Amino acid sequence: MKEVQTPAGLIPENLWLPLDNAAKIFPAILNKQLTGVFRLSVILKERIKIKYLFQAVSLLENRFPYYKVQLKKGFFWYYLEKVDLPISVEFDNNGICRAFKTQDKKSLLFRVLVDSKTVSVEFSHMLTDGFGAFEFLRSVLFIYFEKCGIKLPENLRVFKPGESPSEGEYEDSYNKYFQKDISPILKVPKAFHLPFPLNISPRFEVFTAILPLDSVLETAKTFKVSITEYLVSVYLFALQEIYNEQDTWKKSKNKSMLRIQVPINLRGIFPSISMRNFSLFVMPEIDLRLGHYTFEEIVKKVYHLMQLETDEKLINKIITRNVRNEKNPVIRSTPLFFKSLMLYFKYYSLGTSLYTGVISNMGKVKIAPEIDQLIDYFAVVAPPPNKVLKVNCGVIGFNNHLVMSFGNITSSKDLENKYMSVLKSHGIKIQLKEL
Amino acid sequence: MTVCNNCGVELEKSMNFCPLCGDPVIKGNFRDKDAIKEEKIRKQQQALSDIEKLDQFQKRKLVWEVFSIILVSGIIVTLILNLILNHELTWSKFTIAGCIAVFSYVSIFSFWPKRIIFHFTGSFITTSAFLLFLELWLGKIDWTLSLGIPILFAFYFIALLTLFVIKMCKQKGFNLIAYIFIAVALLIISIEGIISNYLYNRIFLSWSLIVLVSILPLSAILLFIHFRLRRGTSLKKFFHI
Repeated sequence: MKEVQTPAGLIPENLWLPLDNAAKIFPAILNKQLTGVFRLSVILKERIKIKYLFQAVSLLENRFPYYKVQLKKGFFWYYLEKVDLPISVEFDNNGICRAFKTQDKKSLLFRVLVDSKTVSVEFSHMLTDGFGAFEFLRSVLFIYFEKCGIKLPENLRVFKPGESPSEGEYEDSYNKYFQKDISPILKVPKAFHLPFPLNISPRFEVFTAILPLDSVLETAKTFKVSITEYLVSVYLFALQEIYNEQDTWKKSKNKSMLRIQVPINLRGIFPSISMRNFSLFVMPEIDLRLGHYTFEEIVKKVYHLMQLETDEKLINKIITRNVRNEKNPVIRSTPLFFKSLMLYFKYYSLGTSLYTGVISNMGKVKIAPEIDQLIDYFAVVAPPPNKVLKVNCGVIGFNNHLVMSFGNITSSKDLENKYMSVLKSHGIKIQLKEL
Repeated sequence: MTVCNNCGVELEKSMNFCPLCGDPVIKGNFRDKDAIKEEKIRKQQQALSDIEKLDQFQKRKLVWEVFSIILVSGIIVTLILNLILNHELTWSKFTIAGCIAVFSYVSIFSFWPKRIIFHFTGSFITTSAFLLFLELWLGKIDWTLSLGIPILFAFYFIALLTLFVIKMCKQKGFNLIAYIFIAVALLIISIEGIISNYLYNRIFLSWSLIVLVSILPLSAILLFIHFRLRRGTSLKKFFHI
């Protein structure tokens, strides 16, 4: 049997891929509630013509071979192995970001979901990040509208059926941009976590708000920051209010560092065309031991921290720190069972404990003017947060819509309400939607 | 234009069923989603028979009641027959004891918690009590405590252990046969040990070791076939470091 690990050009006969650096943690921590699955939805103006959607997905069956894989357990690491299963197109009535069957059960790690005017793709983070999911959805939409008889430009850069995936699409870019001799990063103190009680199972709920993009942009401009920096500042401001509402005993018990994890697409910094995970995060913060922050002070702090942390050299340092562990000979030769245990504890002790919230902004997306006029808006739902983090937020812009989806596993909507109040106080109109 | 009443997507005119959700197409009669859901639930409820409407506990209770009636009838019939034919209680002791033991099993499986460990414990206690009761009825207690109950314990313990190992297996194939073989070998060793202890007051193993030596290589071959050849797993992938 022909063994191909690093493919070139054509679809390999017996494809298998080691998990990339960002994906390695997931098999150790996932369960029915913490699924590691994110969703990207497009809401069209007209009902989906189901025949053409099936045709579009079917035509793309072989275009993304690095997604047509299942998770397998090796002796030292998990890995992804090619599986001959069709891409599943399902009616979207079974809950958001459901877990995939993993570990030796035949199942792909992504699905297409349809409901009336909405097409959603749900991907396990073991496969890719928001960029990969968007490119896949974009290709589906392109072929779908072509089938519907819409005249589309020939030169539009989308993944088309019949093309061979390039070598760069399979690439683990973390490994490519890893530099051996960079000094390690200093430890950061643990952060405050929301004190809300958890929902009963199934816990995950999504709260979606649509904001006028021009109005948000204008407001961000008045503070001389980008939309992401503005939204992070609002997040920190709302968290500060929640922190201040605690009684004195809880304040003394809980951490006073508010820190937001903001994923950034590294393809904008490095020339990668990888369709697998290639994002890192920066973590703007405010330390409430130093006193109360005004909104302007928060914006200023967030702006400078974001500028500083998105520096290419610093990003290199973070990649190196992450990949260095993976390359450590002792860690590599530790059997999977012990490695998974280590990863599990490390995830809760060093990962989640360092930040209070997550805000993942995919930016303003577009496909082609001919298609864009047929789309109402996009929405993105980040993977269900864990019991420590409790709430996270996905943001995506399209035309004049900025859609914010808060994923929440608690019985409180206090953070969402406070967030919306801050936006309202800045004169931004909010439309709530059921996703 | 035809629209699926259930999932709301647009269908081809020629379609009789929605290819997305499988719902039959009702042409020219598009209704809102909630009304359709309600109708579905109503139809499902209509289709359920009286037995299907019962929950799991009620179903188990029904089975228990049926068994109880059969067993009580059996006890009464054998008792009367025995008394009419022999004018005293003789052979019916055994059928009565058997019926009581079966009744205990049925009760344990019907009403105890679902966990298999409780079922095994209850079943072990019942069978041990049954053996003890029989010996007592026959005159004196001889082999039950030193032979019967230890063998029973070994059987239940090894069976429970085997079930646990099987449950933990992610892939089921030749490995299950190997585990069952190993369990049988362990049981045979335990039985010989208990018998030798009963007869000679010391643990002495002979024939059970021959069984073990025969079974272990066979199990090893089965395990090798299972793990080495499962779905063509290559060593390169499996051991990539």
